[in-house]
Amino acid sequence: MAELTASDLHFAFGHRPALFDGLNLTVRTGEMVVLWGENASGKTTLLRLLAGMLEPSRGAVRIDGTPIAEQRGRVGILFQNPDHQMIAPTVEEEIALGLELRGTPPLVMQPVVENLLGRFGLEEMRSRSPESLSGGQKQRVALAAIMAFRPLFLLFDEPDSYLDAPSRRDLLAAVAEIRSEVGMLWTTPNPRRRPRADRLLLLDRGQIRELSESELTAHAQTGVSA
Amino acid sequence: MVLAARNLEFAWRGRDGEIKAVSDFSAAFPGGVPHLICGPSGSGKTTLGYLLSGLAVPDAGSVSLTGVLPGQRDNIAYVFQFAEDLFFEDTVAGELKQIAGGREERAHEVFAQLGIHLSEILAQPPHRLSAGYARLVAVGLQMARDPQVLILDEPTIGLDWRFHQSMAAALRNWISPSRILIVITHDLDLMRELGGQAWVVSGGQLAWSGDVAALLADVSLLEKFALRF
Repeated sequence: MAELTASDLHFAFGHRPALFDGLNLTVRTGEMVVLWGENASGKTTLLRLLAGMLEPSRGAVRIDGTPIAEQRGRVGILFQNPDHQMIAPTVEEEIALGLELRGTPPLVMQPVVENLLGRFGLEEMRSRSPESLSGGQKQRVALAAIMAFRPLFLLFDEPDSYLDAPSRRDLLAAVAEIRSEVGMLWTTPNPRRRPRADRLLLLDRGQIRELSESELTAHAQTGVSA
Repeated sequence: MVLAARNLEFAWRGRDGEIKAVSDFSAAFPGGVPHLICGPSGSGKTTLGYLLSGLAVPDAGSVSLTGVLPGQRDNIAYVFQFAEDLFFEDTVAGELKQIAGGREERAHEVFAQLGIHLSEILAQPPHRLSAGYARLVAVGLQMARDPQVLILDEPTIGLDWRFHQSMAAALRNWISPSRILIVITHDLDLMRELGGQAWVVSGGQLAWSGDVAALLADVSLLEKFALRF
């Protein structure tokens, strides 16, 4: 089991007030952690810090004690809008792109891509342009492309916000497929819509608090401040 | 005032060939009542929004705004699904000037209804706003223009409970007989809060229309059109 830990994180954008002032968080492989936070509470910024895309002004993000900067490929992010992370002309090339850029030889790469196309139910659309897919299908392609890197942790930035019911079920089925392999952190502004979670967290005023199912349900009726 | 669509036809053409998006769509959208366009993913809702707003030209059929007084020009505003991607000014104040220049007072009023103190964010770069918050700002700026027709594509995605409520209330307040509101959405909570007329699109065609309350009360319809979570 691996652990992604954020210890004593401090962060502010420019001269604006601190967004995080000593935040601590741990995610372990094999668990699904749902993080609820209201709009502008810092969810996306936290995910970027955890993925090593932003640097904290103090504190550190580590995987099993090693700084995130030395192992960025072990943490993948699925963004809210999958169009933000698709550039290849076909589904197959999109999944292969990351490996290709790393110089993976075709003989090694092809079986990995085939396996991912099969696992995520994308074989029939392998030659299609990602642009022509539905939201849920796009999220599945993005997820398969991230999994090509064999990450230990997956960070989901409100990935189901704009999906309709079937697309959302589609994404949740893909997530269930990989659930035991990685540690997942799933953010949402709306706690009524969330996947089945092992732990529920609340991000409020720069701090993380663990919530029970009943506390979350109570809060969900009224908002964080109640 | 009525926005009328007559026998609209539209196909997207690209490297995957031709994809028919809207077929024989006719509807009349009068002011004074919210119009909610809903339907499964890929059913042509967004394309319909482009056609109704004039952002796309139909292959056949027409869109017209009737009841506009002489000298009044057509004024249709459209807010994209990921509107925050379209900000390009350095500050929110710059966006306000570009989008709703000369209507600052009205903008403060609309933003207050949305639950945002506009003066607190005017100096901020819009691309630094969080995604959900930025979407709310994009909607608020267009509302402040008071266009004759306001078309919103999934305005509540990514909104928390508090802003969801204030968005619904602000939209209800915004509507008047001389203002037409069309919301493309799959958000049942928003539909419940706004009420009005539902236009269900499936396979690019109008599959059902009627009172929003009637649609929400009919579980088989909700399931048929993939609206039920």
